[in-house]
Amino acid sequence: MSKSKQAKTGLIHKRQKGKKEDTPEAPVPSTSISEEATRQKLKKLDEFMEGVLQKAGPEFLDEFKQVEGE
Amino acid sequence: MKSRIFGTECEYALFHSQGEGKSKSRWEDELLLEHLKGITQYLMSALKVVGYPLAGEFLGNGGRFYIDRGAHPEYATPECASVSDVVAHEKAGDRIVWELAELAGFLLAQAGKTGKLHVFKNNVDAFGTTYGCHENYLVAPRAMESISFIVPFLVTRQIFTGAGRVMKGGTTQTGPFQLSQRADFIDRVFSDRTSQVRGIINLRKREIPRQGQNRRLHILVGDSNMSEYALGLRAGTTSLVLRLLEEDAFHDMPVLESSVEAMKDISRRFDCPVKLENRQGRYNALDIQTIYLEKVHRFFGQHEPGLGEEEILQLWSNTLTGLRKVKISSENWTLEDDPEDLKRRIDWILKLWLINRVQQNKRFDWQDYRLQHLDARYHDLDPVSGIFQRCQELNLTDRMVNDNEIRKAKVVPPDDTRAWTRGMTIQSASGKNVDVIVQNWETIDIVARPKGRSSNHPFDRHRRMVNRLEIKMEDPLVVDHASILEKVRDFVEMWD
Repeated sequence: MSKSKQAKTGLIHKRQKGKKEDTPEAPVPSTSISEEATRQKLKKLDEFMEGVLQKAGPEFLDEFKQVEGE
Repeated sequence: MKSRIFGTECEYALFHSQGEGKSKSRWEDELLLEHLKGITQYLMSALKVVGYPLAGEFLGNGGRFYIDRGAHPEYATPECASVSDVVAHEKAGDRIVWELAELAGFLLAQAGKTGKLHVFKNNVDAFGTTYGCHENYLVAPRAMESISFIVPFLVTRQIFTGAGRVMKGGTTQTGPFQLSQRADFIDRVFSDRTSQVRGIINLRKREIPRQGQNRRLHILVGDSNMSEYALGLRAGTTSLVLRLLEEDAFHDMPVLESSVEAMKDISRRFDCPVKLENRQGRYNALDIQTIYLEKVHRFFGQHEPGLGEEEILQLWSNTLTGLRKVKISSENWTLEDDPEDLKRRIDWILKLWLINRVQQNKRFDWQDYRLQHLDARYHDLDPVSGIFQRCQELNLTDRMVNDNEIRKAKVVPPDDTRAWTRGMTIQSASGKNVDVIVQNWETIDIVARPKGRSSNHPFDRHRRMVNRLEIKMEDPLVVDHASILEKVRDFVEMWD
């Protein structure tokens, strides 16, 4: 796992706190990284859905009207 | 037929949100049509401004953009010879339509019309009005002789091609959620019309004189898919079944007692049993799909697969295996288990999962009007506000093609069908002293413009009749690019 990828998951910062310079980095289980990445993704998704819901007024159902196609 | 030609035609919904609660619910169809037609004029203006090489409604990538019945913008892909090409070209169509809508939005604003223009790639509005996404397949004459054998396959494939639909005020009779957006609008198995009365298969009268030749099979029953995998599975599995029809390899196939009813029933519950005329016992859509899959498997035990057929067969098999493990609560339409993660590939499963997630977070029940809003937004082509687009960006979906392939498909025609000739003719004549008139999918006229004089010279009409190059491309499988394009270049240079 590259440092940049770890940084994206946010794990690297937690693990570096209070760690001595010469101590080899403890191996990070790949499952916990992928779980954290998934959590982050779902958090972003939920925030996005929240934004969509904010704009979901009842008038949408009145306005979204089409003429029959094929 | 090992070499298949594929194509799709998608109708899109325009939604100009004026944000002032201007209700259209009471608008008569005529007034609404005028309103929508007015917006489409901005789209057509955008098409001229955006700078794609084009000849009338045909584009330099060999596809066609036009305004169809009901003021729906429609994009027809060029003729493609592989599943990945047809997926790339349909997604390219989505992006072209979105680019035009974005530009049309600016033009609307310049004209003082406030609001935001959205385009939805779906099949039904909030009032239950439908618009389609049709598929075309080139088939050998033998397949047409026994075409009814494909019907149970087309009725049941919605378990992986359905785009999902939140039902307005879902009742116990209709259910709150359906697999397919189109199932409720199909009235019969075969029809020669495409509106008001819709068949699973459209038998157009103009195809009948072609008996004995390869023909176009026109399917009306498909949903507008956002997922690339669903698009690929739709085209690929249908093509495999057609291959067996052409080879007369289907015998003792299931026959549905009522295809139209079965289509609606399956849409309401994907494991619903359906009645068969020629078999006892309980069969659901998965069982019927498995019968087709096994026939195709056996066929390829003895026959050489064509381009990409083995991959599609594997994908189909994996999908059915995954669907067997999907569990949905019969009480409240909650996706309880999806161990193969099919939500990454199948639209209705992803949509149901998203809606369940919102229901859990917000305590919404199925009657909540906001769920219908989410349903429409799933199909929004705007990369900023579209829910599917956001899922793709967050890598919550699997891709069948990549962005480079889609970008290329916006401007480059497939090089292994006649679309190449059409597209390259349009590109090479664009901006030259000729008019390119694409009469239809088979014929292009290139007409020289008068040189250095006004166009109302008394002999111009006669000159234009003589100074004209006609290109005929009757067989989509015959690719004779080099000689035709050389003629086009010579003609264009002569008059430039």
